[in-house]
Amino acid sequence: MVTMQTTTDEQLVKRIKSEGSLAFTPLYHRYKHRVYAYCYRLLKHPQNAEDAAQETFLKIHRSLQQLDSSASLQAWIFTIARNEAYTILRRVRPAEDLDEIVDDVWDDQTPLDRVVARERSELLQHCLGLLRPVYRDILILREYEQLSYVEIARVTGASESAVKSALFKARKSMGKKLETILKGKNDEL
Amino acid sequence: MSCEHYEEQVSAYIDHELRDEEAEILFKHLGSCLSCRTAMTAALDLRSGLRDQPPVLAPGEMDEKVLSMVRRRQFWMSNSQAAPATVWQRRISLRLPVAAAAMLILLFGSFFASALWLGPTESADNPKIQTVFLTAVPTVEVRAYTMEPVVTTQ
Repeated sequence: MVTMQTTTDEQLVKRIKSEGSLAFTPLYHRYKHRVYAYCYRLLKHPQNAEDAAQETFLKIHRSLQQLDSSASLQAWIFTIARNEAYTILRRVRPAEDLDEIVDDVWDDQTPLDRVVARERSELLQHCLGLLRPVYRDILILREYEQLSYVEIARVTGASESAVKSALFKARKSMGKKLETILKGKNDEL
Repeated sequence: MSCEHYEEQVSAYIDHELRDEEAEILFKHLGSCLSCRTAMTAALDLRSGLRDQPPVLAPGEMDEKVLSMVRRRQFWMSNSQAAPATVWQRRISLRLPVAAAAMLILLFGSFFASALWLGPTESADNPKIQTVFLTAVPTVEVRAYTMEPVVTTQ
């Protein structure tokens, strides 16, 4: 007997193709934490994240028959999750082009003294939250959800070279920001 | 090639997205470039820092909300399916513009057909008499003569 923990995506896709919406429950339990975590890290708000995650799974339930069995299940799920999260993000930030990859990766500038007392991992999370949504999105998909460049390109609609470039910019900028913060902290000591 | 290019290759390398020949060229460069080796260390350090976080878990109440909405949807879907129709119960389904056009054709067609059917009749006595029945209440029969009109009511 195959338990939920050992069910692979391929097995889930086969179940979806043969059972349709009856295969929704195992799919939901397999992905609920990942989808919620993705929405939470992107939206930085627990209620918005829950709303986005719920809408994601309802859309998945309605669209199960449209799943292409040759496509990546996780890329398909995160594409839907991304659309729902961005719908909420656009409500919060209506005037902004959230998908635009620009050279300025930072979304917000927080005074150094507010963050100087935090531990490194908290600093990293804080820096992640300061990134523009498009960079934060791609970094989350890569570092936490471990999607490949092909899958990230499929989820975001960007090209693979744009994904590669955006990841590089985000990582480099975060590294520099962390270095600056930690250096400032050391100087104060 | 500049160090900026190699640093981007470092980012792709830690994601296992470099081809073997690209990785070979990168490592050849890393052998002689401290700056790019530092970039590699920083990128790996950043990854371990990001991934070394407590997991973010979905709230417990989300299960009931999602699964109950899905169950309700499945219930309505299964109950709204029509029973197999008999020949005499079959509906003809048409798109709205087609249905609207069909109705107009039927309406004008019926006017046209009734006009033809009710068309002018000639009395045996006087071929110039035209009998027109008006359907308004009260019913009035009007006979029109060339000389003297006669109006009778029923």
